[in-house]
Amino acid sequence: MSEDAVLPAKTGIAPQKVLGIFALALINVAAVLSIRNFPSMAEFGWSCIGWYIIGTILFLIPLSLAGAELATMLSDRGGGVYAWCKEAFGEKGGFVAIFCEWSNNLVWFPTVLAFIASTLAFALSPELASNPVYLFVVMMIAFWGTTAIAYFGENLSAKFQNYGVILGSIIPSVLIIGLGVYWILSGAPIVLPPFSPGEIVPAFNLSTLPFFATVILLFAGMEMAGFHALETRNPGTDYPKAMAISAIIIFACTVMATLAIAFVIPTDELSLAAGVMQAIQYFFEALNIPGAVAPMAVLITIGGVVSLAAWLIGPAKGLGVVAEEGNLPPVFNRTNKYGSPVAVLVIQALIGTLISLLYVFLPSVNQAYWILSAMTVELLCIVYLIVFASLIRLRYTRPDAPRPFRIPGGIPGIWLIGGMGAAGVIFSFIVGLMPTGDFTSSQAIGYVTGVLFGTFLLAVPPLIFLKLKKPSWVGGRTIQEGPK
Amino acid sequence: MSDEDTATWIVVIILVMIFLLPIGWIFLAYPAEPHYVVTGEPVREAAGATGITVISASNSTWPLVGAEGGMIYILGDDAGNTLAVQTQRFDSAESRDAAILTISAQTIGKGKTAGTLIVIGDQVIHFGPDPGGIISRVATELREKRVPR
Repeated sequence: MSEDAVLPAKTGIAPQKVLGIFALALINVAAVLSIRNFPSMAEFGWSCIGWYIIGTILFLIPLSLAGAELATMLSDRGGGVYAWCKEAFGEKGGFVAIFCEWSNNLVWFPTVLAFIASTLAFALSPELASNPVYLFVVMMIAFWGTTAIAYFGENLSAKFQNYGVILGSIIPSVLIIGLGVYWILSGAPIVLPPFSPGEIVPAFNLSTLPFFATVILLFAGMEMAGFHALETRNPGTDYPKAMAISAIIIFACTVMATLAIAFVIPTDELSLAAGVMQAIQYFFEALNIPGAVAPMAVLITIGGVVSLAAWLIGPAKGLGVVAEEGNLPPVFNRTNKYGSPVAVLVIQALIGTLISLLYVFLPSVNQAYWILSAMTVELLCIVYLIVFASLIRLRYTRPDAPRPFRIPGGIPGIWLIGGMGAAGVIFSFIVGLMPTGDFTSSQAIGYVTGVLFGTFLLAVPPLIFLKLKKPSWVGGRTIQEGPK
Repeated sequence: MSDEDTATWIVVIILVMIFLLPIGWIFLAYPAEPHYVVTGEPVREAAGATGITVISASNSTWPLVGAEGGMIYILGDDAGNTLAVQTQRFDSAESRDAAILTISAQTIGKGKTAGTLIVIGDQVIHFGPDPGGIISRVATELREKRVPR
């Protein structure tokens, strides 16, 4: 049985330097690369290329470069996004950024957990997907199981994410790409219209504008490796390489696998009413390998769990650092013998469980899910706006700080990269407030008010905690000690 | 329980409330659409009323529990834009809600879903990506087919 001991701050267990280039890169890939995006994006046909290019220019490249510069500059600090934003805007800026990253997860967890459960049901027995008890049980096994893995520290969670992402995201992506190539080489008809450069230009109108926010944030999570700064062997050299490798893997797998699906499945069949697995089933049946559907469902389930793990562990580690610095009440400041922020993980799991209960057992209302998705988007936009603003500000406030990786081009270069990223997320924040067709004009006002109010409530606790902060919060750190 | 423990639990409860408040409010503010039988073909009728052409229509049954069949429409406007729409009837509010949950979990990344859903009685109507603003024209007509609560 573990025993609690109060130790002075900063004297906890020294982080183990267990992460190299590929381990770091795969943490980012785990957070971003998801098979479930492919069929949805394939619905856009050739114009999915245009959407991906927009997301890459306005978000993937700026965030990768910003992450590389900030992570290498502040490689001796834990907390990832928190450390970066705190350096630029003080505790308030850093705390708001990391709290928004953490709180948006809590709203998003039920969505990804429901996806995991319904995808696994496809492999077991599709009828299960309509059973709320099954859904909730599987969701909780995935959620608390991932939390348990996080409990056992960086070494285990990194291995879990690394092996899991290869099995659940990279292998299925490569398989889909390979089968798409086989489809073309075998002379089978490509269902997309003949290619022309004009086909890749996405349509911009009031109907597609809300989708813009989704595309921009398609690559959200590229900052995830930054939370593991203290566990990285050679952060100065490994980070930029890890960022580059992960960006290339994510972009290549995403674009090619999406096109492979778009080549094989007609648009009207792709309409994802019955879920991603419907598209995957059609894909494999068209290729005369229906037996691959169930194993693929299992792999995609693993990919979902790994994505959950990446988002569950990273921001929790960041919030653990906030607690360690005395900006949260002492209840949050408990670290176990593996160096995991156990109190944050448990509180996160408790809140996530309650929200999942509402999600599964209350009547399903389309508008409610849309509002929750919108709140996730808005909170993420706040995080990334502060990150890009930090990138720019630090070039002015700490111009001479060593930066093993520096975005080229001096001040104009930093404004170009940071400015593009910031413009993308500001625009996403605005269009993220646009309602879907299921809202009447009178409901639309309630929708915007609800999204803004909910976003405000989930972003404001850091300001309250900082207001209530007591000197005693800084003094001690509780470490659950295990056997020596 | 010491004062510090009490304060700790108060903090945790407040934090839980901060999360449950907006989320609980959202679920209460938007009550579920009642389950009732919708007659006719609402999408075809809404398209006809707004000058949208039904280019093609075919039968379809989703591989979901309680799905009773529906249609796949390809709608088109005068500018040549097309839109795929799927409709599906469900035998109960529970099976319809399970379908809504499944579809809503298919978000792209941490964003929203690619398509749009409209629920009318026993029917779930799924619109694919809309390059020409067809949804906004059809949706107004479709919502008027709902039985007032």
